[in-house]
Amino acid sequence: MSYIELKDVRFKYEFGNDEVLKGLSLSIEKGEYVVITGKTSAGKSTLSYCLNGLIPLSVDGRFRGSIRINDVNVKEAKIGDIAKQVGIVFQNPESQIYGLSVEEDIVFALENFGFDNQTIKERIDWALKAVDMEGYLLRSPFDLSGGQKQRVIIASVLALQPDIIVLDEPTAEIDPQGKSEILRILRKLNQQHNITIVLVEHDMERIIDVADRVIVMHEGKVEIDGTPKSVFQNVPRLKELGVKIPPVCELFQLLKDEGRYRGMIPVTLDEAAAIIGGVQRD
Amino acid sequence: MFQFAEYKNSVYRAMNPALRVVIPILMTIIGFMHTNHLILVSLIVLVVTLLFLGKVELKTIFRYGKMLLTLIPFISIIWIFFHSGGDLLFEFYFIRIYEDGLNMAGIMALRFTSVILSIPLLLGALTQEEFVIGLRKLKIPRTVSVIITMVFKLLPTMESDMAIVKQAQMSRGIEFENIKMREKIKNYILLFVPLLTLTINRMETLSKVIECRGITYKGKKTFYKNIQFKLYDYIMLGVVIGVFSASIYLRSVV
Repeated sequence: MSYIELKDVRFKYEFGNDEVLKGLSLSIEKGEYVVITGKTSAGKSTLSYCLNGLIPLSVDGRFRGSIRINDVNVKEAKIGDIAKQVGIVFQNPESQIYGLSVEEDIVFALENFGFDNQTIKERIDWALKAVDMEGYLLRSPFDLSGGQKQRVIIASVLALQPDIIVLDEPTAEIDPQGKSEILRILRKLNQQHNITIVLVEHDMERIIDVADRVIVMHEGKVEIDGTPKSVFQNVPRLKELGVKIPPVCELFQLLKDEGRYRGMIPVTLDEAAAIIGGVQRD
Repeated sequence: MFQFAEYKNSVYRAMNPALRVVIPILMTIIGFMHTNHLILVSLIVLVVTLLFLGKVELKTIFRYGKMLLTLIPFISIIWIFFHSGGDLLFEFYFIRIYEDGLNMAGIMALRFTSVILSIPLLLGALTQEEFVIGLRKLKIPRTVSVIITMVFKLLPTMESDMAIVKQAQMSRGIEFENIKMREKIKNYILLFVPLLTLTINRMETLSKVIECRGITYKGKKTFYKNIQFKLYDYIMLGVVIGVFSASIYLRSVV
């Protein structure tokens, strides 16, 4: 049994005309680093709400199908119970800050779940260390950079020690340096703390070498699901689906189209360098 | 507009946050209870003293105090020109000013001064965290206190969003100053539509965030920073009860 399992999920928002998810089935294992991509309105954000129970428990609309998280049927659970297992981070950091200090923001969830003071203190220290934000405890989150704000939000989610963190385009409104910081932290959480990462992202170039799996969504369904290496072998189809192609894949596809290259399309610069090195040696 | 204070040490702020939530509310109630000039002036003096003891920043006091500049002339005009009773003091064509009208205008001006000055006493002498602790001490349900805090947090965010939207609209050639009132109203509608959309989006995200952080969780909740009542707080509570009781007594005799 997978940690998260969605079967034939259909969802239409209360005030929407059409279904956003149209019979989506998907399973996610513990410890995976999954990237979900696809063009706008493919249903990526809606899927991310399904992964932590906001759909069907909180967001209004018509839901069909089944979602099981850690072998519990979400329909029979409560948002609070799921929140301790699956944390979620949204796009705009400003809109997600609750507290006027970093400490207040992290403490909020821990108090709600009734942790004692000693545990709260330990969790705050641990979460801030995990996102490399020690020393920021009493700072106002509003005075921090976009990347740092998002790291505070990740720390707030992390303090509950969830098994999975779902991030809905967390770097969309952040500068390149902040973006790199966030992606580095996510990699660290996945590799050092074995936390499952489900990242909704358009910019594939920066994450392709760390992701275990890439899911391409199209019109409310999973269109392609596989390892980055397998997914990026079909560049023309990915372009049709509105996926932002990493330049290295684009270059080798061009070489393939011109008949100058026949091998597998590399997905990272290191792989490309190895191939080019090989070509030169030949 | 509505913003909580930064942390500071002072005689007033040494009091438990619950008392600092209750005192401005009691000042407002006393202000509405009395119609005696002397009592209302004493109340204003007391509020100003507390503002001073609370080290409330002058800019915070002026931010709310400037509301009086529009409120007092408006109230005065209404009471002076539209309230009859007592001796007729002045008559010019259809304009008649009565003694009671003048008296009531004075009372209302003093009343609203005390009430408006109680706002910086509440917001300028409490941090957001202390405000939440204060509400918690007063046994206000956590969900309610979080909603109140969110509203107070939303207002300054709306203010900065409005500045951004205004600049964006102005860069597209939309004027907001030095134009006819009709044009001004039309242009402000162009400002409020994106502002409203932004605010709704922000609130929607924040409500999802706090839900995912367990606000609706039914189990036991704990408080990381729980400020207990100390001897000083009990003494101040006695003073507050004394002042409020005296105010009730004075209402029955004055």
